[in-house]
Amino acid sequence: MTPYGSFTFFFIIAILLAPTIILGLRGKRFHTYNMLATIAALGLIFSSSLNQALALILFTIWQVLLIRLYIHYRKQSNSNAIFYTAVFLSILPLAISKLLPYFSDINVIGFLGISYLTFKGTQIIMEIRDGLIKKEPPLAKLLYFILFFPTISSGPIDRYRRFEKELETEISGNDYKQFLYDGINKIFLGFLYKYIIGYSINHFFIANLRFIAHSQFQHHLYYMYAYSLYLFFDFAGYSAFAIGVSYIMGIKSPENFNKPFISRNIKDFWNRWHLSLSFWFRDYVYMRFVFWMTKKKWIKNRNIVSNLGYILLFLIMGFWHGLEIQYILYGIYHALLMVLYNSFERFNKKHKWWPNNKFTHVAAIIITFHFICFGFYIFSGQLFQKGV
Amino acid sequence: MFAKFKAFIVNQKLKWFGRFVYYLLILLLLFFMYGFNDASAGSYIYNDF
Repeated sequence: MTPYGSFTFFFIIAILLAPTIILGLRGKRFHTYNMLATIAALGLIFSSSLNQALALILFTIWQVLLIRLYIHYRKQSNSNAIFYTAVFLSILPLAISKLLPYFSDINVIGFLGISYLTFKGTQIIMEIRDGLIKKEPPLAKLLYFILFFPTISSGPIDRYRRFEKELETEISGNDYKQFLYDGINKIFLGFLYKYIIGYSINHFFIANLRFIAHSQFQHHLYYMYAYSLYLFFDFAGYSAFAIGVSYIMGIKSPENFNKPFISRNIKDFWNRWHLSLSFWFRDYVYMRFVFWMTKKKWIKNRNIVSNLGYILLFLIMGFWHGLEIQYILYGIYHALLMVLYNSFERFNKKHKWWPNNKFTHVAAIIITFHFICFGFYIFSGQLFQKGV
Repeated sequence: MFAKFKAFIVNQKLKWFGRFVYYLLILLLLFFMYGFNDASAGSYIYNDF
């Protein structure tokens, strides 16, 4: 069963979380019950595919073993080679599951949410390396973090230290009322986004584009804007459901969106769109790359290092979406935009060519919006489809 | 005048009423769009990644 994919799912989750709500309102601890509810919900989600369920179990054992072995090793030593090997082994199942469909019809490794679970596992290994996680995470907490069902299929990607801190925080009955209120609000927002607006855009507009558009160009132009909005309402709707259910379970999962279509520039956009993913890439790819290059002193120019970091980040992000041409081009497109904006920002700091006032602010939002939509148009793959 | 308007806007009862209408509208729209059938709003795009 797809998480948040049907009303039946919500109905079952409401029943499953009824004890959580009762315990929460009485100010009693509910995380032990929530762990059991997570097992039941995972059973429900993966009940239709034994293959996927088995892959999930094996993957979780793999990640937990890696984390445990690496933290034991890290207490005694800190070799680069072992760290890179641990990161490689953590990413390996995801890489195989992404590559396997190109060579075989059966993907025995992949399962719903493998990417997001990998991000969580790899993140823990990197934070162990940095000395941010020093104590071995208790097995129950580690499993609960990795398998936390509200965010299992598409994030938001939480951080272990934040998650653990929230697990340890006592929530009084009064505090829980706010959690519940916020959670219900988010779930209703999810219904509005996914089931009403997103569905309407897709069903009434995109599906009927051949009757609405009068030329090929018009078709592509309308598709570009409609798909961009559809993608936002689809994904923001999912995120609102995931965050809402997390709140009801007493965990404030991080936000994934912050009004991305009012971004003033491409940098601002990546601080508003798919936040948990872009922050993950920023912290564990871009920052590490910049730090590494600065330490090695191979390139002394900071701007070149920063631009190379952006190129690396967006290329990896593109490849992560898939090996199809549209995803790779999407990555290259955003890398280019970022590098160009970086150069423009430096030029403008010196020459004050683009003043900062209300008019330029609105103009910047409009320009950025069109660049973003073109990016989503590439991402959609419509550009490479024949016979449209 | 402005103070009165501000007091009206921040009024808790009005907020609750606004929230109630917002929830009701969403529920009504869901009912009109899907009736008593289970949802068929399609899979999530990002579930594929």
